[in-house]
Amino acid sequence: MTEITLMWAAVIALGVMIYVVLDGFDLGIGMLFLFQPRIRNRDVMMTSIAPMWDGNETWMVLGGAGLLAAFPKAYALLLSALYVPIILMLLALVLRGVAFEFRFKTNRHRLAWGIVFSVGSTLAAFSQGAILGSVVQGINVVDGEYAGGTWGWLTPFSAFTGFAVMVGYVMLGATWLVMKTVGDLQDWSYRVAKIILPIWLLSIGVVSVWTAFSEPEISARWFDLPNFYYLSQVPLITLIIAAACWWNLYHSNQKAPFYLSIALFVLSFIGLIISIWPYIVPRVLTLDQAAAAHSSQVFSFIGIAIFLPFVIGYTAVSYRVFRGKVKDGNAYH
Amino acid sequence: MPIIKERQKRVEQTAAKKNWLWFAGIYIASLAIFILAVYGLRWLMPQLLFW
Amino acid sequence: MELDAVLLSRLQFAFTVSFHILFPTLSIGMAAFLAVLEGLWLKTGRQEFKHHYHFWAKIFALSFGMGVVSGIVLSYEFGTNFSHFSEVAGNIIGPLMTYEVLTAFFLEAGFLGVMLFGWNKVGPRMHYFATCMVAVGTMFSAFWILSANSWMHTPQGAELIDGVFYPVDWFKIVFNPSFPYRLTHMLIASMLTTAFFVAGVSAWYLFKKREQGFAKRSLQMAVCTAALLAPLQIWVGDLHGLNVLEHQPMKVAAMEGRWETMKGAPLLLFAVPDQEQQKNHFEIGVPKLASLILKHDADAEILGLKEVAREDQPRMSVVFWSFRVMVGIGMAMLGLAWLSLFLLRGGKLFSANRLLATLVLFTPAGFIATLAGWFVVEVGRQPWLVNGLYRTVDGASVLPASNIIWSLTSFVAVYTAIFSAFLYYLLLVIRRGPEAHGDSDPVLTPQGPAHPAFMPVTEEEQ
Repeated sequence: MTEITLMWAAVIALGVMIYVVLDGFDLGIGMLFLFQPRIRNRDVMMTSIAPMWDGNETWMVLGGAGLLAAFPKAYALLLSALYVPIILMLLALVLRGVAFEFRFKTNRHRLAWGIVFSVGSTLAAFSQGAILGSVVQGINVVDGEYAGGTWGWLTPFSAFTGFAVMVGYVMLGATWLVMKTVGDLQDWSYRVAKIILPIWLLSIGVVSVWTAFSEPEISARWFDLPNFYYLSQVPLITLIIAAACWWNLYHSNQKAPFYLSIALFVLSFIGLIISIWPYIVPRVLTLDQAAAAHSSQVFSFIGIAIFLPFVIGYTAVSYRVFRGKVKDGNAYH
Repeated sequence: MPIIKERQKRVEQTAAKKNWLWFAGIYIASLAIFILAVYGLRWLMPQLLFW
Repeated sequence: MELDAVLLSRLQFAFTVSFHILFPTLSIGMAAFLAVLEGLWLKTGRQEFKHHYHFWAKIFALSFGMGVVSGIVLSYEFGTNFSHFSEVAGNIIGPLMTYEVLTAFFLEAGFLGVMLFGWNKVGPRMHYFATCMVAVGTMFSAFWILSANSWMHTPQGAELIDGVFYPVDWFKIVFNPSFPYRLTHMLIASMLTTAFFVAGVSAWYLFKKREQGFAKRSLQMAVCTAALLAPLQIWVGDLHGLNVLEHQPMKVAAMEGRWETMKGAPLLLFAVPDQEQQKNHFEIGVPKLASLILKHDADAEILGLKEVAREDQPRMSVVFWSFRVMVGIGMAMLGLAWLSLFLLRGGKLFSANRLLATLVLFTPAGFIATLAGWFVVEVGRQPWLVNGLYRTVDGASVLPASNIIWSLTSFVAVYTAIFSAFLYYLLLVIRRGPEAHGDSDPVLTPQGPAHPAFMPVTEEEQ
């Protein structure tokens, strides 16, 4: 494997992780939307993410374009094999996106667009989780073409990962609201977070164990010595962070739960990478096998090196401009 | 510029300066992390390849 | 043609990309317009420019959102429906798309929040910077996507080894032969479309004797822009055509309805192409004019479609008629723009009811012309995905047709629904007009306690 291939693998991983965290709370808020009974609070929920959802979603496009640029064989195989959940996800994201635009433009149809917003967010989250599960579980490939059939992507494992991702996103959404809102909406968000945290932790546990024992190679990687001494740090740190998140929730800290939830996502992600390394399409294509031409990887990596720090910089400024509590659903209007 | 009054201008300039500092700080930090990550990965590579 | 997986994938991509292109076409021009308006406000201090900004920004926001969501679909549709193409050309297309995300999408998206929602959060100069960054972002987006698309039409700088494209010279790849013409042509198309859109909306207000102070200003700006850009676009289009003639003569043959290679070829105004019989029915043409326009020599030889085998020919009927629609609208735009400018100079434009009505009718003209132009270009490239080197049939994913029927139907259903909603809210915004919402909301707030100074008009009250 060349260095640049490894660099790109890291960039893709970073891009996916940043997307999951950022759009995670957007989609989480979408899933929680209809559970919040007061219209005024729903307005606040949407307003709290209105200025950032577009930028957040862009990280997914970076993931896709980056995958095409650096690992085109993986891009081609994964996207055509996972046709159904990806199309579902795209349609769901379309509906979620336009709901943002349209909901604030009407009184009469506000509930209808709220439903679209919520359904879109939920479907997108589930699809993403199912896609994740399918990738981890492996794609059925015969002679370089997908051979798993229309429903190959939906298995008990991928359905569960779909659920796990949904729960994780709800946690991110709830803790974001804890950070950004006040009053009864914030109280409600605290209650949601407290309920979701144990469910999410349990899901992470189930997925981790299920993944670890799904392939002999993976369980060997985790449990053989001396690996076990190093890698067991991951679940250990996860438990500590989870405990810290729990503690912070119960002590009504406003910012820590969100950041700790992000940390939990990052740790889960690291765990997954440890499991599937060095494959990008498990059991089928390694990073090396899927890699683009050297010149392509280099050319596009130069772009990443130059522009990504800028992107992170002005994205941070944009979040800073909209820092603080959102008290009024029409605050930015 | 006629619409920006003097005091408003100063307040705006301080806020704008803070935003610029914030941008520069995050930019330099991410660039630094990026460079560290590149070297870190290069160093880690033999171990990773072993797997 | 049977309804096989390849055709279904082509139909789906054609549908989704045609839908998508409508929105950036407006967004690019509108963002530039907004940057001009805000700049004028900052420079002159005149509130009318700020009123204009807030009104047109509402429309921009609607259009931009639609563009984003439909665009994300496309970035993944390469992989879902054209996986083999993605594998074969990914080395080339991938980096270009990555640059588009890095330099354009992030730029637009990053500053859009401040632009639309940050009026009360940042000072005027920072806000203006945000508006400009969004405008620049839209143009960078056009740059990269057109570079990638142009490479598919005039590939250079890459070599085909064992069925996969490998880059050799990135400068040549990015700045491939057709790119400068297509980029310019598209950017101007966007500006022109926006100009006629703004002109049409403004003309409607004037026609209805509403918002007259407001509409006079925007109509004036739109007419001047259109009068300048329409002739420029025709000239750029001509240069573009000459470039196509050089690199894709069969596309020109299809555009001109030319089956037989001929010296002194006529310009066909009307024809019914018959691909089966490889000839036209009911031709009406101006003798020698095609040769004159294409090669500046009335007796020049123009290649006909029959120069290549049937399986290498694009579908002439689509290309021929789309081209005529585009050029027809372009000429009409020229006439309309210059007539309007003439009347504007004479102080008679704002009361010229029939002209105003025509401008209202021409509000969507740019969109139709742009779409027609894209049909010419993309259908005209068939059967190739990468001109002369890689065929569309080879690039499509191997999928069960039933899957694609499902996804195509779903896209049609969802897009139709959201487009209807888009039009509904767009017309609502226009019908309510600029005065209904006061100064500081680029986004409509029907229940806006934050601004007691105005009374929002809900659709129930209309």
